[in-house]
Amino acid sequence: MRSKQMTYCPGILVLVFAFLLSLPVFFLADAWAVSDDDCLSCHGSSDILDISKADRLDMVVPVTGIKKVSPGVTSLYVDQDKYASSVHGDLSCTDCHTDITQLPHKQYLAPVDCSMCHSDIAEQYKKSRHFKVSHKPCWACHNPHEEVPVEQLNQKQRISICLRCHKKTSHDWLPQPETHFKYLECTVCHSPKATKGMFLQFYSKKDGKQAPITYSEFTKALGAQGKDLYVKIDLNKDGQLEPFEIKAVLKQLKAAGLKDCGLREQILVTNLYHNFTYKVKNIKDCAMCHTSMSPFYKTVEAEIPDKDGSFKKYPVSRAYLAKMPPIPNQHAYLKSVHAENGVTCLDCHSEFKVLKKNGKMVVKSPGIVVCANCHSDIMDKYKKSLHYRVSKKICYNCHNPHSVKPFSQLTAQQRKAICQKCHTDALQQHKWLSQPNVHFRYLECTMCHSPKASKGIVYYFRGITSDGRAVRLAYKDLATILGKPKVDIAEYINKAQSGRVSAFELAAFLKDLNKNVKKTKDLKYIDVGVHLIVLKPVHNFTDKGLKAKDCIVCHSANASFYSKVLLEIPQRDGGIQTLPLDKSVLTGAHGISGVSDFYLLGEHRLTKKDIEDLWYTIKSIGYRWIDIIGVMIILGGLGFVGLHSLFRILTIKNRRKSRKYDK
Amino acid sequence: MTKERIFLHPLPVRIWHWIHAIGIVLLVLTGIQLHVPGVISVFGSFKTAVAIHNFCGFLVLGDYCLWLGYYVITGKLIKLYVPPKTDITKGLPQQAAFYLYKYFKGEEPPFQPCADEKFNSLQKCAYCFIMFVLVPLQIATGVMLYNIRFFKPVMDVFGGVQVVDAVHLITSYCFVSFLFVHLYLCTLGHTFWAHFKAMIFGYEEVHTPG
Repeated sequence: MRSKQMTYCPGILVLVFAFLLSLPVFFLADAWAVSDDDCLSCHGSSDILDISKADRLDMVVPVTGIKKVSPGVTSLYVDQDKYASSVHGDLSCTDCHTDITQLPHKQYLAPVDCSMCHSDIAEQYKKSRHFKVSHKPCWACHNPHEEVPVEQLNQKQRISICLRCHKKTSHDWLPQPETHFKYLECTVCHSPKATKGMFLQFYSKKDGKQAPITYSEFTKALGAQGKDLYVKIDLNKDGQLEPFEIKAVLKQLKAAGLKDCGLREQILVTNLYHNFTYKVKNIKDCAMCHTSMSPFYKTVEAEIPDKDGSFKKYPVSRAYLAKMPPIPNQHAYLKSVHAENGVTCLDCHSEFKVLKKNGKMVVKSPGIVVCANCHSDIMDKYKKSLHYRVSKKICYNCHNPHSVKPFSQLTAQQRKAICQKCHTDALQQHKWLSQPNVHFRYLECTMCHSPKASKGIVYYFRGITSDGRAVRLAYKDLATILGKPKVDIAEYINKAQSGRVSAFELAAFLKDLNKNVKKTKDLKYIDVGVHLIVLKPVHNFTDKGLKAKDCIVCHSANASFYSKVLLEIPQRDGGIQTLPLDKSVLTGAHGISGVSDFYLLGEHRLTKKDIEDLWYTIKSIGYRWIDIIGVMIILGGLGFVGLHSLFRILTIKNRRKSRKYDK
Repeated sequence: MTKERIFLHPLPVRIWHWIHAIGIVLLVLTGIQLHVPGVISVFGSFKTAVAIHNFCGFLVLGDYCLWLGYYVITGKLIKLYVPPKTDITKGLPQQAAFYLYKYFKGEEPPFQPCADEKFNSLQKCAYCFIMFVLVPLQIATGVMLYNIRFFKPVMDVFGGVQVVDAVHLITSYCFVSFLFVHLYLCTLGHTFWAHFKAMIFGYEEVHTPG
C-alpha cells in the first residue's frame, strides 16, 4: 500500500508545476500576437505604395495556388488618422483579418468575412443580382479602412460609390435626368426596400457659393448654445419644427447678416437595403416617388449643426411639405380633371427642347408655354393682360395642374386662395368697399376683377349638422337620405323633365329630404347654400381697370349673374350637373330655408319685368278670376253677417231696455 | 207705444217670394255642381243637376213674370221699388247708420213700413238693383246658355259664350252673397222671426212710438 501512494505523488506535482509555469504563457500570449502597430509600421505609411512588387514579395510569405482577392477600393496604404476616425476605428486589424496570426503574413490574405458583423447586409447582398452578376465583394464599393458612417455622407459622396463602376448612367427615359441626379442618390430609386427620408439643411451664400450654415453662425444668430439652441428653435415646444418656426430661424439668420438664407432639401437613404435590383422593374414608375405617399416623406428631418461638426436631426412637421410644389398623389391625379381627359405625365412634361432621343422615349425640356397647347384661348387672353405683362406669372404659378378638382368645383374661398398666394394684402387694399369683410367672405376675386367673365348664382345642397356647421352634400349623401341608392337626382327633382327646375320643385325636394334627414346621425336639416361664382373665367383681370369700382355692376337687377341662376345636382358618377333654376327662388316666398341668407342690396326692388310677368299671370288666369272675386264677395257678405251678429249679441241689453218701455 | 198689425205682403207677393226663394236656392246648389263638376255631386249625376237647374231656371223666369205682372197691374212697381233721390241721398245713409251703429245702441229704426211704403231706403236700392238688373241679367244669360247654338248670334254680340258665362257666374256669386245678407237682415225685425212671419202670413207687427 505504501509504495503505490509514493508513485502517484511526484506525477501530480510535475503536472501542477508545468501548469503553473505555463500560466505566464497564456497571459503573455498576446505578446506574440500581431498588433496594430505591427501592421501600421508598414501599411501605415504611404511609402508602401512606392515599394516595387518584387520587393514587397520579400516582405511576405509567398503562397501558391491561392487566388488573389481583388482589393476593390482598398489600398495597401492605410491612413492611420482616417482609420482612427472611420467607423471601424475601434477595431484592431486582426479583428477582421483573422487569418493573420504571425508576421510576416501570407502574400495573399483570405477575403475578410464581413458577415461576421454585418450578417444581415451580407444576406441581402448575396441574394441580389448585383452580387450574382458582378461578384463584387463588399470592399469593391466600400473602403473599410476609411469608411465614415453613411449618415455623414452627402448625396454627392454617396453617388460616387456607385459611379466608381457605373460610369455610364443612361437615364434618358427620365424627364429631366439632370435634376434627378442633382438631388438624388442612386439607391433612392435602386433600393426600393431601403428606408428613405427628407433632410433639410440650413444654407447661406458665402463668397458667391451656397454653403451650410455652421454651428457658430447658428449660435451667434440665435444667441444660444448646445441644448438651448434647440430650445430656441422649437418655439412651441412640441418636439418638432413647424413652418413658422423654420421661418423664424431664417429671419434671425438673415438678421445676423447671413445672405440668402434658405433650406436645402436632400432626399437620402437612411437604412439601406443591399439589394439594388429587387423590384427594379417598378423603378421606372414615376409614381413610386411622385406621390404624397412616397417613402421619403415618412421621415422629414432638419439637420441642425452641432458643436463637433456633426448634425443633430430634428423632426419637421408634415405641414412643411405643403409649401413645396404639390407632387401629385398617383391616385389623386387619376381623379383630376387632366387625367380624366386622358392627359398623362409625359403629355405635359415633354416639350420642345429635345435633350436626348433614346428609342421610344424622347426627353425634352419643358418650355414655358406648354399649357397653351390645349388652353390656347386662355393663353391668348392672358398674354394680353396686364397681369402677365407686369408679373410674368405663368399658368402654374397660380394653378395646380395636378389638382384633383376642376376649377368649376372650387368654392369661392378656394378660388380666392389662388390669388391670395401673391396678393396677400388684398383685404387692406379693399378698404374703399362698404363692408369689405362681407365681400371677401362670399366672393372670389374674379367676380369683380374679371368683368368679362360670365357669372352666375349657383345653388347647392348642404346639410346643417347639430353643431351648426354647413356640410356640402354629395351624391352618396342625397341618395342615402332619399333611400334610393341609384336615383337620378335631376330626374327626381325635375319630374316634368322640362330642363329647368322651378322653385316649387326645389321646395318639394327639400321637403322630401328633410322628411328623412332624421335617419342620418349628424345632420339636423337640409337646405341650399348659395354661391355667387364665376362660371367661365376670362383671364384678363384688369380689363376695364378702375371701372371695376362701380357698385352698380353687381348691385342692380340687371347684374349679369342674375341671368344665370343654377342648381348644382351631384351625379352618380361623381360629376356635377347644373340645371337652370327659376329666378323666383331668390326673392319669392317659397319657404326654402337657406335662401334667406342670400341678399344683394337692390334685389328686393320691383322691376318692370315683374309687373309684366304679373300682368301676364293675371291675364292667364282670365275668367277664373270670377271664382276668386266671387268667393271674396260671398266672404264679404258672410263677414258682415258674422260681425253684425256678434255686436248684436253683445248689445242685447240695449234693446231689452228700450223694449221694457213698450210693455 | 201702440202695437199695430199692418198688412204688408199680399198673397201673390208672398207666393212669388217663396217660389223665387226656393228656386234661387236650388239654382245656386245645382249651379255649384255645374261649376265644379266631379268634386261636388249633391244632385247625383251631372245630367240630373243640369235638368234641375234648367227647370228651376224657367220656374224663376215664370215667377219673375208673375212678380212683374202683378206690380205693373197694381201700379205699385215704381213706388215700391224705384228709390227717389232723397232715398239715395238721405235715406240710405240714415238706414246704414242704423244698421251699423244705432241698432246696437237699442235705438228705434228710422223707417217704419206701411202697405204703400214697405221698403226702407236700403231695401229699395238693393231690391231695385236685384230685380231690375241682376235677376233679368241672370235669366237672360241663363236662357242663352240653355241653348247655345240657338242663341249664338246674340251671344256673339256680347263677346261670345265665355263672356255670357262669365256674367252668369259673377251674378250668381252676387246672389249667394245677397242671400246670406238678406236672411240675416230679415232677423233684424222687432223680434227675430217677425219679418219671416210677415212674409208667410202677410201681417207685420209694428210698434209706433207714442
